[in-house]
Amino acid sequence: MELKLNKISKQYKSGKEAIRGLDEVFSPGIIGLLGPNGAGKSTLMNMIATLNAPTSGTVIYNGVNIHHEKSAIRKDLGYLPQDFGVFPNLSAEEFLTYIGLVKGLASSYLKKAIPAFLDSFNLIHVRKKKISTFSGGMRQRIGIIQALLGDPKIILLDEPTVGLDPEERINFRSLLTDLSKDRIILLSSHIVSDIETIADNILVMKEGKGLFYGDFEQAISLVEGLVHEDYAEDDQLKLLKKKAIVTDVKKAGDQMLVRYLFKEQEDSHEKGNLPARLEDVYMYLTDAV
Amino acid sequence: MKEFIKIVILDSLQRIRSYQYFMTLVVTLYVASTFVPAPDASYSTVNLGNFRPLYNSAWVGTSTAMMTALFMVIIGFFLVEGTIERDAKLNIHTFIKTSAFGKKYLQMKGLSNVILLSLISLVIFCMTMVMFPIRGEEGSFVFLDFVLPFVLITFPTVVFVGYYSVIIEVVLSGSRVLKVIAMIVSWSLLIPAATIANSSSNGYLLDAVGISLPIAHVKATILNEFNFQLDGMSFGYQFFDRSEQQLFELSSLEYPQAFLWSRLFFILTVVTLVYVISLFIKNPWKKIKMNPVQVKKIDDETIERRSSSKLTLPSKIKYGNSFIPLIVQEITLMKKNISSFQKFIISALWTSTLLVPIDIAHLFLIPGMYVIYSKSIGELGGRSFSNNVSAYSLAYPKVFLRQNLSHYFSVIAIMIAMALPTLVRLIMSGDLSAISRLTIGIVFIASLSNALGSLTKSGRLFEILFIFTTYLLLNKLPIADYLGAIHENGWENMSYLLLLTCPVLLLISWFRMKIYSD
Ligand SMILES: Nc1ncnc2c1ncn2[C@@H]1O[C@H](COP(=O)(O)OP(=O)(O)O)[C@@H](O)[C@H]1O
Ligand SMILES: [Mg+2]
Repeated sequence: MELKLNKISKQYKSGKEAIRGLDEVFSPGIIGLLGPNGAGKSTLMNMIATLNAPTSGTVIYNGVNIHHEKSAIRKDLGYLPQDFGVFPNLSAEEFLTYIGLVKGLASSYLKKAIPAFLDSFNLIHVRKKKISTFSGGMRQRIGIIQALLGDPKIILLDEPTVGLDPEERINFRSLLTDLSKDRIILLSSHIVSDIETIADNILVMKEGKGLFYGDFEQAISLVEGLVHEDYAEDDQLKLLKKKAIVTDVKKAGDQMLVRYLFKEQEDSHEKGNLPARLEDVYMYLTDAV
Repeated sequence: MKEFIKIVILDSLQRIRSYQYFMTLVVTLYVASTFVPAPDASYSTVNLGNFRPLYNSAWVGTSTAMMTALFMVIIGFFLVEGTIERDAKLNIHTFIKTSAFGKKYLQMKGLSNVILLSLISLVIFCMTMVMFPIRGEEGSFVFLDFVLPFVLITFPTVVFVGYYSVIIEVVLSGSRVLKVIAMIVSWSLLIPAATIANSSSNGYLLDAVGISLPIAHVKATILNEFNFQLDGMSFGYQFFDRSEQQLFELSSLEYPQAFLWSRLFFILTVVTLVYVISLFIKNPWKKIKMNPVQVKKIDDETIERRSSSKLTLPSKIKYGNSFIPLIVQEITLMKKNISSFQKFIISALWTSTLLVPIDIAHLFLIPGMYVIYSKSIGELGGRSFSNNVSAYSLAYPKVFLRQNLSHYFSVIAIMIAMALPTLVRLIMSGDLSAISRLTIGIVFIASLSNALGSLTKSGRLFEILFIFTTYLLLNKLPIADYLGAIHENGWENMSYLLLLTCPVLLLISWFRMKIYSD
């Protein structure tokens, strides 16, 4: 199973170039799409969901161009868009049954699967309550379950952890890890820690371009030996921000503990000796394009 | 005082700016447009036996005033009911209770009710005046013949009903059933009292509705012209043959002082009553149960949960293309999207279709139910967009079409259920042609909604078009006869024409859906 992006670009009618020449191959596992707002993550997901065609380039799923033969990917798809709706007057159970049925799943299957999902997402106690009474995080989990119903092979989750509290995030990650065998799961976020612990591979995007694609170790190696940490005063920090990428600032008494890295290892700087984090890589990649 | 007026206006604004009020207005207009039937219409609303008045300003103005006053007595309460309760549900009541304004609250609600009902009556009157040149038989338009009955007959009744509703709501707070019973008992006492009241100075004191004076005037005119003593007048929709009627001309109504004093008397009585009640009942919300209707967000924190759970799914995925569970689910969804207000009116109309003549059920009551339900019918084809469920449902194979198809069939099923008593009665009377015309009409409405909804992604266009067409239907325009109820010469084939357009409309929706999902 393979999903191939073949030099795809997308220009909206407004003239905005949301994707510029993206060229990657995704294989089974969890792929974290990481990038600031406006990087083109949602546009890319929408395109893989065949709701949007690329202006140029092709998306190939198991050898088939999905924009020519949409059913090839749609039958294997689970999709949670960034903005989505529900029928608020239905209960959680009723709404999921409705979506399952229109997806073509049998009632007998849904009768078992929906309670199982509701249970593992801690919604079993409120299954008979109207969705309009749900908090944002609960509604979000309904959206996630909707995408997972029917065991899709390709799962697209656009900023799924919005509104989830820390405990639910942990639960979500462990469920997703269980599911990731033999499936391609695309997970977007603009928050590094959402992706860090679960993604097998990371695609860092900015302004429609892919800046990096690889696993965690490969990502870390990009900034190996570049990360520094120093105490600094206010004006020193200002100066540092001009020369280097500041990735973290902590208050330490009167002073500040500043974590930073230089774009390139120059002779004039001594080698950084701190272990790199994904946050550093992300800042390093997206800071100056 | 200035503050008081401001609060009254703001309270009315809050209530006027709701979709429900808009719909109420539309439906009211629909009903009101039947108050004064066209001269050649085969039904009447004010029944004078074999006599028929000429449609001049005096008659149209007076009869509209009477019908609106009666309408307000019967329906007014249901239009304004629940406003005190709603303040509690919106949690405004705590702050009213603790403010100095508390004492004036019930007076404020009474006035705000009056504003709402007056607006509705005002719209009815404007419409009558606009319709007059179209329907009137005797051209001269006398403005005062419209304004005076409105100001002196209808408006005092509106004030009476607005305040009376506050009294009922406060005194019987907490039990809707009791309130409804009280209202029905009230109008079944008030209306007969008004029609039998004789026009002596004391007699007016029996008549809170204000119709005794015009009734007396009509009787006197008939007595004068035909030397015939009319026993009584009845109100309500009745079909009969127009050709044998004798025409008479009504002069402008004159208002004796005793009548005017009686109008003032009724207003002062209810206003005083509300004042007295507000002295005794400090907390009108005491008996309101808060829990069931209030939308309360579930507190996520209180739910028992695990931070890491295993998912055990059925090992085999089964696909089923059976349509029945989907339609059942769809009907569940549609049932939940209908407000109790709509449910109430629809069930009242539905019950009436069992009792009234079949023609009336076919021509008025069924379209009436559909008008009240038109928001839901209009959702066909556009609902997934307006709820943004399309954001993902479009990405699944065939989902969009399946969703639409099941929605389409359930709308038809619900519309047939609404027409069921009539259909059964038609079957029993063996009128196959009427059955097919009615059924075709239903399928046509659903198909039209589906096409317009999928083209515009919303139900607004259909709704407006449908309400307007139904309005034309009430004016007996054969071209608007989508349910085949008028069925006049030369238009028999209309239904078959509609039947032919159904596949075209469906093709349009299907084509549009295909474009969306491709
Ligand atoms: N329908 C659209 N029409 C025009 N521009 C759009 C549209 N959708 C998104 N964009 C633009 O494309 C860029 C990428 O957006 P998006 O894919 O939503 O980014 P992300 O999901 O990474 O925040 C943004 O600059 C956004 O303004
Ligand atoms: Mg996005």
